[in-house]
Amino acid sequence: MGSSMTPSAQRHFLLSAVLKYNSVLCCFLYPLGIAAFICLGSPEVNDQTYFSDNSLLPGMVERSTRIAQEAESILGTLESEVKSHSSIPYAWLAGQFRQAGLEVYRHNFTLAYPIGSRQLHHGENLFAIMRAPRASRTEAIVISAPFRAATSPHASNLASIATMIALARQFRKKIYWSKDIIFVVTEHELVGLQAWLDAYHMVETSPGVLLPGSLDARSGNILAAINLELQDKHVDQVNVKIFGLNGQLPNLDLVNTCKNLMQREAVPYILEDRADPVAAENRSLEWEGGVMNLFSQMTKQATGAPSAAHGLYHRFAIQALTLQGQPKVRGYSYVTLTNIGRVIEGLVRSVNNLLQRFHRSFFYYYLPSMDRYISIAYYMGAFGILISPVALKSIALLLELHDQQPTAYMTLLWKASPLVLLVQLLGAAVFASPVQGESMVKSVLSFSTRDALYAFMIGASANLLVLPIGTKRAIDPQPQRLLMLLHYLLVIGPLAMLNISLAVLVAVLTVPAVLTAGVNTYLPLRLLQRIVQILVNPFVLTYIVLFCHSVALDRWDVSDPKIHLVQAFNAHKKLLLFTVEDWYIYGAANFPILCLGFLPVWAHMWSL
Amino acid sequence: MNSRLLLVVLLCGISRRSSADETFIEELFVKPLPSGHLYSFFSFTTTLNNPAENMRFYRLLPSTIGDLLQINSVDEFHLSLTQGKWSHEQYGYPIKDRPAGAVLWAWFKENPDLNWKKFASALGGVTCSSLNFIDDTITVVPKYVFRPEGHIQNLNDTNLKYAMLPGEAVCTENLTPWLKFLPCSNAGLSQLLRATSIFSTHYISIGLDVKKLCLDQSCLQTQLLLQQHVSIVFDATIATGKQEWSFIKLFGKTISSVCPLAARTSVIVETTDNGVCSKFALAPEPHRLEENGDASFAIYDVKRLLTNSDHVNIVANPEKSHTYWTIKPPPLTINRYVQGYGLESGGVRTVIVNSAQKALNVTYLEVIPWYLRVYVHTLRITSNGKQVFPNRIVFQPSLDREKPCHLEIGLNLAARSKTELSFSFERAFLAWVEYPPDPHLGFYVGAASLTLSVPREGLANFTGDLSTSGNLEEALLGSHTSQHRSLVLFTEILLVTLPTPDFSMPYNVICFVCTAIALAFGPIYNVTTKNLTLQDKNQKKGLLHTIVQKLKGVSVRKLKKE
Repeated sequence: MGSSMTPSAQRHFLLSAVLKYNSVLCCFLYPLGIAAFICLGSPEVNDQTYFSDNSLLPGMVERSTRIAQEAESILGTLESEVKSHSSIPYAWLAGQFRQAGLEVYRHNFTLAYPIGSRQLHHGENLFAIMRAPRASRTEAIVISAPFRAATSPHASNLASIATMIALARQFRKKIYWSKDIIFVVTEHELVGLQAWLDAYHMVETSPGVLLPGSLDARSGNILAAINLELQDKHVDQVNVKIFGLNGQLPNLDLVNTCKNLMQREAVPYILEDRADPVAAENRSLEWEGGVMNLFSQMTKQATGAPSAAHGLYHRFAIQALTLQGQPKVRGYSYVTLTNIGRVIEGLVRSVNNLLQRFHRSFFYYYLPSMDRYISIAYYMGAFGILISPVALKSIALLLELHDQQPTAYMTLLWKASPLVLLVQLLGAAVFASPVQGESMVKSVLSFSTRDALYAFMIGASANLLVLPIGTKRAIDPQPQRLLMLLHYLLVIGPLAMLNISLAVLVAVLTVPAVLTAGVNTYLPLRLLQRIVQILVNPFVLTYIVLFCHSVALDRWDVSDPKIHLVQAFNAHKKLLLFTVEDWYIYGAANFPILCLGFLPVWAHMWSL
Repeated sequence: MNSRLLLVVLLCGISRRSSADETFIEELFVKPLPSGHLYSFFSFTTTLNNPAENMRFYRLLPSTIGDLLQINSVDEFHLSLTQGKWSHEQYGYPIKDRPAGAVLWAWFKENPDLNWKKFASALGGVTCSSLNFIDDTITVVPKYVFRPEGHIQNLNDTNLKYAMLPGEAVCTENLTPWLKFLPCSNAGLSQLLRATSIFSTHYISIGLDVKKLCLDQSCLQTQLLLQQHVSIVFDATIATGKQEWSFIKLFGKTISSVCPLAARTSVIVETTDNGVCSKFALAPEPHRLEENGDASFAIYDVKRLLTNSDHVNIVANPEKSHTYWTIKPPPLTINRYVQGYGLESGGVRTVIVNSAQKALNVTYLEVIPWYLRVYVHTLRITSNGKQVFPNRIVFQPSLDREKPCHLEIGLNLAARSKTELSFSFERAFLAWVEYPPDPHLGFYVGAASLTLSVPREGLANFTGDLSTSGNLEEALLGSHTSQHRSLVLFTEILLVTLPTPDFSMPYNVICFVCTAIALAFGPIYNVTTKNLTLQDKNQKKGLLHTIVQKLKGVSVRKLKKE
């Protein structure tokens, strides 16, 4: 109230403090933000997981299937069937499901590869619908498994298909189902599932690229999906995978249900490749484990790539996770498919009990262990502290500008804004043209698709390097710097809602560079400024990360850096290709974020 | 003694006279389905000849129904309460197809608007269903379909009302009052209708149809017809893999007594070879074997069976286990789906497959609740991928909270064609009191229907049309060519998610906002109502002065530095 009545000279003491101490505050808040994130891993700070929807609970009470023997014999037959087929043994599989009393359908789809010669790939999925008695086809639960031929680079997944058939037989005999259960076997990994989901919802995620075809039969809304990747009939531990496309997560209730069932069935589990920290006397050890899990999850989520096929369901508001059964893990004795089958049975029965969609805002969380979660209420605070230096700095700059030009400061800001438009347009141009650019490079040089795309992207964004030469004279540094900070906040703020991990990692790596950009100091420091700015260029930064990763895989042995440099270079090319591919096929957001977010902001910073 | 004898004679006289006027026939039809399921259809037909204008006394017809008809001037009505979806692809065509939930349509003599609500509520009361929720927001007046099945004097097209309650949960509480309408609710075929067995099946539909028929050309002689029916689909193969059945297995009960009021109690078993189900032996031996075209039936007279034994338990024993194999779908199938995802917009897509060798004329009726705002410009009909145009179309746009969107489309389905009908909608925001109070999965959209008249040469998988026949035997065995028969197919009901707020969130928001307003009120009030005047800091003032100043509305807070 008071501030509006005081004359501008009598500034609110908080604003005066910001103006006076902003640099000190920046130096203090940035490490504080990082520290806050590290603290979140501690059990003292995060919360015990709990069930928000109690109607999930009864499904855990009684699990009656014993499928090990049946599934193993099915697996035996399936393995011999697969030997004589290069693709899914449709007739045999259809026969199995049909004899269990299910409706079986096939689904054809086509992928027109978006880049290069637009090669056509065909695929065929198979799905079986078990109609629930007295239900009116309004809701469904999906159990899916990708089919992998012997030539696939991934581990065999036949045990999952055998488990599905065995479970279908058991489920069909029960009358308590209130939702249809759909069993889906997909071809070509993610592409097949994306096509099936598109066809199920009768939409086209990527028109002209993935042609989903149509389904002969459907059910209603899919409430939840379980994706199976059981690599063998004897499973030593189950790796629960939750990260979906663009870092989306399934409802925490589903993950909790899964964890609870695995505990009940004595199935050893890990979450996204990492075991829960052991509850030890020494609290700091537990904390360390939690922080390491948190960091590992952040790096996985930040990539925006689904950790398994379940990740494609999330876009359609279907809660989904993958159970990856890993055999031959040292230090474990195996569990049979009976236990795994019971976990799936329990999950499906729990979801079957639901009387409403998964509720509460349980889609934003980190799980430092399967028992403890960090809610959005906590990590958003930490993220706020992390980027608050940028906000404070921009307030301070605005106040400064206001003090210097009390009447003309808005005009100055408006005058500075065309540059924002320019860099955004440049970003949009890069975003719109990878396919054309790739063919352009190919027409000149005889590159492979991957190399041509890489060359085009690097070339196109290298143009941004010369931007300062053209704009240096035209811009007014101080309002421009303010606009750049706001531009940065505009990109990173919404990104925190879309993919918090990516936002945090980017903020940690770039906030110092952003804060120092445009500060007018003497030459050596300005040179350092430029070097830092080059380092945080999205392309350079990802290359450095890949290089570090490559070195880390080699146990930090840097005796021969050339190998790592080349490895990182190849990985970088692949990464860029995947980013573009994922955008065209699945609509993954990383490519637009890069072109319409990171690159323009970086160019803006660079032009100061 | 004499007077008592007289009474008996008199009663006999009455009953003899009225027994000619009122008849009751009970029939059960059992049909093995190619999917391994078993279809059983109960039909209880009560007729009353030449009903008087103001009837007070009924012998067989339930007086509740009679009163309902008279008080609400109803000529004809059809009610069904259903759980599950009849799968046309798997089961073929039923005798009466009914969609999930409750469906009611009625023809009125007069004042349909006034009588409809009254009638629905009363009927809801006597059937223990929530038909009282039927109001204008879900009611439509179909123009081309749901024509009267019986005879109606001075037919006026606007006297029809049609509504669906797709979310209606049907259970034993609906069955019990329904059974009470029967002359014998615990003897004869109705003995088999035990809630515990028939509500653990794959599909159950109970229904009531009332209509008036003409007995002669000039319609001087009329007949009031009450058809009560139950359709049940059992999962016959679940236990042994054989499609075997018996009354004990299906219903957990046998028939132990006849309904003395029934003129006929018969069980009809279809023995047609459908190519998938294995042949089965029936025990006891059927009394009659009938054929009608390709279909063959074994018919039992339950009264005759009960003269020889105490219990009737018909057993069917198939020769081999059931082989599940691809089932040839019937010539015409219809499916309807929700298109898209998210909470903003979506679409409805209907797929009609005509695999027959000839074109069929059909009428498609769709009723969409107002909270899905249909964009009619997106309506698109394609046949085998090419856009086609309807023969006739009725479209009534919805009005928020007043009436639903009514779409009726006449189509000519080309032979061997796949017709797709689609339109988009936008999901409306509801007021917070319009959300159901209980946890819910979403909002239901009633089934669409497809009506066609069956070609003279018949239609594969067509079982029979009860709507134009007096009883089941007539429908199954009657001549195919003599009468006009129609087929009504219903689609799936749809479940649509509307943008539903997290209802614990508004509570939090209300708390926050109220606190914030309370905190802000004081300062704002002060600033806006009080004058700021400069005061001499050193001047001493008395208490009285302060009070006067306060009353004047002047802030007495001293300025610190001036």
